[in-house]
Amino acid sequence: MTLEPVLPPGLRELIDARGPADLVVGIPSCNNAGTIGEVVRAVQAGLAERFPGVSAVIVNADGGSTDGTPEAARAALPEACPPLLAQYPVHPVHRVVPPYHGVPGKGSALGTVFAAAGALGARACAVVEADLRSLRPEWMERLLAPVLEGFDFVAPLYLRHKFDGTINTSIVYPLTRALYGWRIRQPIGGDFGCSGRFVRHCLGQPVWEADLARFGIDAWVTTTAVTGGFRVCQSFLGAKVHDAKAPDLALAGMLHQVVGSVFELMESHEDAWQGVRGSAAVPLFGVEPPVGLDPVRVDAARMVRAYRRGVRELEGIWSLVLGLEAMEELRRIGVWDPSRFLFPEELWVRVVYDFAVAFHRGVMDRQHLLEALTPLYLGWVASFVGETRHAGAAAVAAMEERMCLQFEAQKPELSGLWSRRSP
Amino acid sequence: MMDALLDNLNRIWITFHAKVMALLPRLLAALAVFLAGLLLGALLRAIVRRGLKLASFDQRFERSGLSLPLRRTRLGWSPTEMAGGAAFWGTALSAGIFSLNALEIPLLDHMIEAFFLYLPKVFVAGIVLAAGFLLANFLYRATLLLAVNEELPSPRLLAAALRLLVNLLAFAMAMEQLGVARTTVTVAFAILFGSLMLALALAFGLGGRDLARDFLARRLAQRGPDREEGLKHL
Repeated sequence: MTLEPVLPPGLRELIDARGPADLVVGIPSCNNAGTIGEVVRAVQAGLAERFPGVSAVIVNADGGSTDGTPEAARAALPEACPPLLAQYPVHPVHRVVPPYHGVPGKGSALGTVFAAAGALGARACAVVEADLRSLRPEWMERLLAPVLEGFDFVAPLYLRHKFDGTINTSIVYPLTRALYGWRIRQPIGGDFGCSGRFVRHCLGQPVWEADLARFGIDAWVTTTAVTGGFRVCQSFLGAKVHDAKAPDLALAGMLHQVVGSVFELMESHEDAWQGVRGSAAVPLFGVEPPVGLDPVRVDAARMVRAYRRGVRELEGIWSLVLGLEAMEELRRIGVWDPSRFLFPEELWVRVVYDFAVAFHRGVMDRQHLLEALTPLYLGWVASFVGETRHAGAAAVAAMEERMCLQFEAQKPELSGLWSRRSP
Repeated sequence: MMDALLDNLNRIWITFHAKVMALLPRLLAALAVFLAGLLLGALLRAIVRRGLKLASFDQRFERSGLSLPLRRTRLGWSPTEMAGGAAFWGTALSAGIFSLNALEIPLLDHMIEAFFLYLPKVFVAGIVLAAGFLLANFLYRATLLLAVNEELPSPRLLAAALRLLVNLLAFAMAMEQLGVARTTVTVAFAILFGSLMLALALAFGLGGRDLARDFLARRLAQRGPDREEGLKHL
C-alpha cells in the first residue's frame, strides 16, 4: 500500500486560503537558524528577479528546530509574503544518527514540500538546503527555468575542489552513471528542481515511510527521475558551501548511509539497470562559474595507514566478499611505500561491484559489510590524491572519466554476478 | 549331600532359564528398536546432508563468519557433516533409550525417567550456548570493524576478548541451567570475569597511561579538529 505524505496540521488551511501557485521552493531545515535567513532572502530575491509576476511560494519544512529556525525564516521575508511554515515529525532515530547530507528525516521534509507543491498545483518545484552558505539568487533560475522549458528533473552541478566529496566522485557518480546510463554528476546533490508531474509521481511512490527516506532520499529522487522516463538535465550552480557538517558522523557512518542507499536502490531498480550498457550525457544549463575554491587539506599518509590496517586486520571479512585474485592484489599494493601507493582503477571498480553483489546476496550484516568497505575506500582516495595532487582540472576530469569508463566496462560482470544464484 | 547340590543347581537353572525366557522377547524387541533407530538415524543423516547441501549451508555458514571457530577445533568436519552427525547420534541415542525402556527393568526405568526429566534442561542449555556463540561472533565482527575504523589499538585482541567473554558467559549460564557444579561454575566465572576486567583496566590504565590519556582525551573531545583534520573532504 502506498502511503502518500500528508500535509501537517494547519498547512492545508494556509494553502486553501492562499490559492494555487506556479512555483514552489522547499527548504527543509532543522536547527539552521544561522543560515536559513540568508537562504530565504536569496530564494526570495531570485524568484522576484527571475520570475516577476509568477505566483510563487516558499515552504519551510522544519523538523522541530529548537534554535528558532522557523522564526528566522519568517523574519527573513516581509510580512506581506510570509513563507509557509510546516513542521514535519522527526523520528528519534533521525536525531541519533545525523544524515550525511541535509536535515534529519529529510525524507519526511521532502514529503511535506512535495505534498504542499501538489496541493498548490505547482508547475515547478525547487528544493534547496537550509544550511547553505553559497546559495545565490540565480540558483532559482537555474533550478526552475529548465522545468518551465519542459524538463522534469534538474540535477545540480556544483563546482567542487578535486578532493572534496570523494564519496560522490569515486562511488556514487560512476556507479549511478554505469547503472542507469545517464551522466549526472551529483546524484545526491540535495538541491534540485522538478516538475509538477514529477512531484505527483513521487507522491505516489512507496518510499515515504521506508528506511530509504531517512538517509537516501536524494539518491532516490535522482534514481526515480532517471528510471521513470522523465526528462532530466543538469544545471551549473557554482560552489556549494555548507554549514559545518554533522560532527558526530564518522566516515564509516557516511559510507553506510550513502553507499547503502545506492546499493538498496540497485535492488529495487534491478529491472531498470540490468540491460543498460554505456552512458549518455544529459542537457546542461548555465555555464561553469569562474569562482575560486577554498583549498582542501588532505592527509594521504593517514589514509594509506588506514588501508594497511584494513589489509592486516580485516582480511577474513574481505575474503567473504572479494575473490582470491582481488585479495591477492589488495595485499600486494598494501606493502608499497605510501608515497608510491597506487590503487588501480580496475581493482577499485571490482571492489565496489563485489561489495554491491555481497550487499544483494546478504553475505553478512549490511552495516558490517559497509563498514568493511571503509579502509578500502580510504586506500582508493589516498591513491587518487597521490595521482592528482599536482594535476590541473582537465587532468583530474580525464582521470575521473577513465574510472567511469572502467565502471561501465565491468558492468556486464556485475550484471552476471548479480543475477547468478549464490554459490 | 550331592543330591542336595544337584537339586539346588537344578532350581537355579530353572529360575535362570525362566528369567532368560521371560527376558528374551523383550531383549529381542529392544534390539529391534535399537537397530530400527540406527537405520532411521542413518536415513535422517542422509536427508539432512542432502537438504543442507541443496541449501548451500556450508557456504552460508562460512559467510556468517561462524566457520572460523569451527575450523579452530581442527575436527575437520564441515557444518553439514556435523548437522548430519547430530541427526544420526540424536536418533541413535533416543533409540537406545527406548530399547532400554523396552527391557522393563525397574532400575533402568527410573534412570530413563530421570533422563527425560533432565532433557528440557539440556535443550535450554543448548539453546543458550548456541545463542551465545552466535552473539559472540556477531559482536566479534562488529568490534573488529569498529576498532579498525576508529583506529583503536589491537583490534583483533579487543574483538577476541569480547567474544571470549560472551562465550564464557553463555557457558556459565548453560552450566547453571544444567545444574553442573552450580556454585563452582558461578564463582569461577565471576572470578575469571572480574580478573579479566581488572587486568584490562590495569593494562590500559597503568601499562598504557599515555595511551589511555590520549584515548580518553580524543573520546571526550568527540572527534575534535585533530581527529577530523585531513579527512573532512571525504
